[in-house]
Amino acid sequence: MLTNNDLITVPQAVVLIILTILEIGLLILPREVALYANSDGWILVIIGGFLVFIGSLAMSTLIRRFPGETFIEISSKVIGKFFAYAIGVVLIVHLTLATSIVIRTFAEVVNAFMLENTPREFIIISQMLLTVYLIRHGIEPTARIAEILFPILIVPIFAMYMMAIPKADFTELLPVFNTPIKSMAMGSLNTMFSFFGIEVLLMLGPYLQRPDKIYWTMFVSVGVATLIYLLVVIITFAGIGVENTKTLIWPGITIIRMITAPGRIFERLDALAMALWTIASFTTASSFYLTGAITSYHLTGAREFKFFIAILFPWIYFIAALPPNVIATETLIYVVKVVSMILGIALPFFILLLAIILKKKGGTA
Amino acid sequence: MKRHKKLIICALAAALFLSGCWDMVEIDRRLFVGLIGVDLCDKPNLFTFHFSIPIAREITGGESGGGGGGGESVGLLTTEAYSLIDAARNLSLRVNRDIYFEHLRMVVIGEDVAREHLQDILNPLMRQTEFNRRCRIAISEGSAEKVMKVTPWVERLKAEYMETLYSSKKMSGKFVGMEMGDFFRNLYANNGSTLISKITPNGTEVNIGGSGVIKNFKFVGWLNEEETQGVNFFLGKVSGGDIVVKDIEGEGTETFTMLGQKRRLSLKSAGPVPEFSLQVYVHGNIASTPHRITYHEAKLESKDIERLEELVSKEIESQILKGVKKLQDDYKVDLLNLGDYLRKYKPALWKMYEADWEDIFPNVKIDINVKTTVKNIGAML
Repeated sequence: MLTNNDLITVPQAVVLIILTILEIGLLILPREVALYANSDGWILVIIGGFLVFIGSLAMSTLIRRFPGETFIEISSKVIGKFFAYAIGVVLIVHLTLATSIVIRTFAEVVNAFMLENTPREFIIISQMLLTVYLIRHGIEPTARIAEILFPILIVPIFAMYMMAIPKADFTELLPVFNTPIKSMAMGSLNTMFSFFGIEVLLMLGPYLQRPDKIYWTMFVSVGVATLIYLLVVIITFAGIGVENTKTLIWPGITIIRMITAPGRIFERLDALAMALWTIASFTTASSFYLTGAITSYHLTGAREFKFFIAILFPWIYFIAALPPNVIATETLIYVVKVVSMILGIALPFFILLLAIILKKKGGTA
Repeated sequence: MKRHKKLIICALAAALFLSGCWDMVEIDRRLFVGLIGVDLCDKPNLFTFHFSIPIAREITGGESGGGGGGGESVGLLTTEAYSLIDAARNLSLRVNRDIYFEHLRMVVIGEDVAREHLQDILNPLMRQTEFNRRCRIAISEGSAEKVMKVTPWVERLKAEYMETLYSSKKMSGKFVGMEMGDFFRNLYANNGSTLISKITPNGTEVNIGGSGVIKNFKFVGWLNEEETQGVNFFLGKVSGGDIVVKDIEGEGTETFTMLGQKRRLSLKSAGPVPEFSLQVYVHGNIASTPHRITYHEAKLESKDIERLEELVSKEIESQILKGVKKLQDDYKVDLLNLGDYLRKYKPALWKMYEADWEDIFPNVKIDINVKTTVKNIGAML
């Protein structure tokens, strides 16, 4: 079926959001939840995922209330032009930052595990050029690529982590529910940050073919992402051990290096893991980058968005090359994650609340 | 012309982005380290590192039969350095190829190093990504150098020989077979205490029987083969091996080969010092019986089997007790994972014991109960 170049179908939207969410969390989530809740960490993933879905309801409702309208239009209707533009600028800055840190983390992991002597800047530039090549074609091709890459990413991830099971010790997941409520709550909040990326939906609103099915879209996307994160966390805990997980920067990759695949041919899966990591990183970066460009396009009312890709390019590169080391990147990641949850959950909630109070509603398009 | 222009641009871009590879090293420019040995050096802070490296040229030459003879198939490099990475970099002054660790099979740490400096050796193994977590790790009795100088007669490659030794888990429970990943997991889960494989060099072969005890990131002593098997029984890790018992009427011995083992640990009573009870279930075959049974009595009766089961159970129990006693009395370190058990299954109780578990553990009472089942008696009645 040929689809209109501007609209994305429900499955496309689902995979686009899943692939945007699945990224840094795949590698670092096990450590983060282990630090907060030890062996209860995997419960945090479930709670976190659930909270993210609940939080995303505000965003979904907003999009349903104003079908076919961009977020900038919606917010200028509700809170006035000035604030709407301010939010737009914040969004652009945030999405630029998000693209940068995704690409930066990608480069760092590739540097650490595969190409040790390759300049990081080179990895960043080549990944960015690839991203630009894709998103220049617009939203529908990007979503279609996500549709194609989704099984290529998910099936091997499952298969790969399953191979760690013979070496896993599942008693590492015990004891259950032994963490104080306070650190559970803090941990769940922190886990929500690993779902950063849901805010792209905010900008995708007008491009959805079926905005009426948005709850379902969100439910499936967040659900699938939660399941994959859960798998990664459980296998990592069982394979590496909770205590050791805490000391590793990227436990999600380290566990791959423990696995010996059955048979002598594919003894090591490091290369496969790197390939998957490239895909995960690429899809996330492209959807952030694209949304950044689209936001700029909505904000300025320019004739086309491609032009903004070029404008954002140097900034993304500059920010990606900025942090001196992994520790600094981690700090930046944390900031982006927090802002992401504010923009993805708190802001839509606030605007929705105002819209209901002020009885603003979108035209039935 | 315009189309040509595009083509040229494409080609140039490809040349720019696809060619320059900073990390390219041809495979024949690499030296694959198979074994690493670490010994203490007489200078402070320095260690002696030994790298055993298979020589590809010799291996392939030998296989084709020509061989020329006399060519060592494995080279040994020795250097003094502050750390593993330092050692590898030192070697680059002497060896023209890249030292490559991805195919590392085993790390052998000398007894003396392990007593004082174990963490210093382990740190780069965890931090550096070029070390894989699939390799084995062992402490050698005496210096690691002796292990590195072993020339096995079975295999051409030392690394291959030593690594595959550890796959004999189905044949014996008298050693600790742990990959580095598992080793780190145990080490961290247990506050820096774990069992580690022991390796004893002996001219043309090594012996991996027995195990070393690591307490708080320091090597403190050995367990012998029986004690190791006892601890393995306790942890439920025995999946093969044999138990030999004296015949009840004093005529020779009976051999029982194990096929597998299950165990169940439970807390019997809490109190100031907890009491545990351990149920061990072993099943296996009878491999040999004394002459008397088949010749004079002409048949292996079910009472004989029962008696044998009892004897084997008793023997296993005594082995477990030996291991437990050694850990409780001599080393005072909880490698029986009792603390781990409490932490996982009785978290509320564990909070009570956690602070001074080290003092409590030596006094813990364990009630051991072994049940042996004979599955098969072979092709002879």
